Amino acid sequence: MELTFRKNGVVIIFNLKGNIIGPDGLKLREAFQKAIELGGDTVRILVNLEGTGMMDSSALGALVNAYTHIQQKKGRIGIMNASANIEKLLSLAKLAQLFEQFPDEEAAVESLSS
Amino acid sequence: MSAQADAHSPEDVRELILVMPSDIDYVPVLEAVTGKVARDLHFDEDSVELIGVALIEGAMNAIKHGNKYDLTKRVYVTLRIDPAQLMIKIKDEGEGFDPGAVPNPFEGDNLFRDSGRGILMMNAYMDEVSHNDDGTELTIRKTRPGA
Repeated sequence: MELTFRKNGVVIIFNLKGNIIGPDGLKLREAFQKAIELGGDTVRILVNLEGTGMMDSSALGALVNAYTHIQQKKGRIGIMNASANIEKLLSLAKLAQLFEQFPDEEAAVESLSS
Repeated sequence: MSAQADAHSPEDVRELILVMPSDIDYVPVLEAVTGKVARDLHFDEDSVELIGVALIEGAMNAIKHGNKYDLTKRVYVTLRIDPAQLMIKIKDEGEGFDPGAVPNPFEGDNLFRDSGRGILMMNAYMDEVSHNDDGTELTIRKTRPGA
């Protein structure tokens, strides 16, 4: 997994590349925790999954963990460019409704900034 | 051993046995080896990816829940290939568990838990998932293309 993040306005954008498996889940969880701390009470996070074909349950757990912490802070989290396999996985785990999905960064930043 | 596997003569069956410490950094190596085997068996790339994730789920469970990250304990992975299937057995040296007692990930607040979906994913990606009686050995199976 390759993870980089940057800001676009108030939105922290996580760019993830490569499959997120095994030890990657823990790294992703720690990165989310840092971003949530830095993002303040109304943290906005966009997870760009372009280049990520698949993730395992540990990575999914990192996403759910981020979601619950962001909810507590009245923030928002969205995802974009989810592969078919990841969409299937979210659906299988009945988690698809937790994460707002966006077609592109512009639409995501506009929505998440409001 | 399943009745299906027993139907093949010994020369039709190949086994690759991998022994690794309870260190999650070795899990991607395990995935790479299994991916090579699955590609050689002509599984398509989507299936290779899904088998890899199921394997990772099993190996992570063995390290985390089975051996509790104890580096003195090992995880034994057997890839068993016969003309009909790829079977993967993952055995840990832990105390075992009751597979029937694993919480339903869809029930109540479990939906918001950040763990507990591994078995769900293995069931979705493989044709068969089972545990031995004491929960220390997982078996996952996928039918080979065209078998």
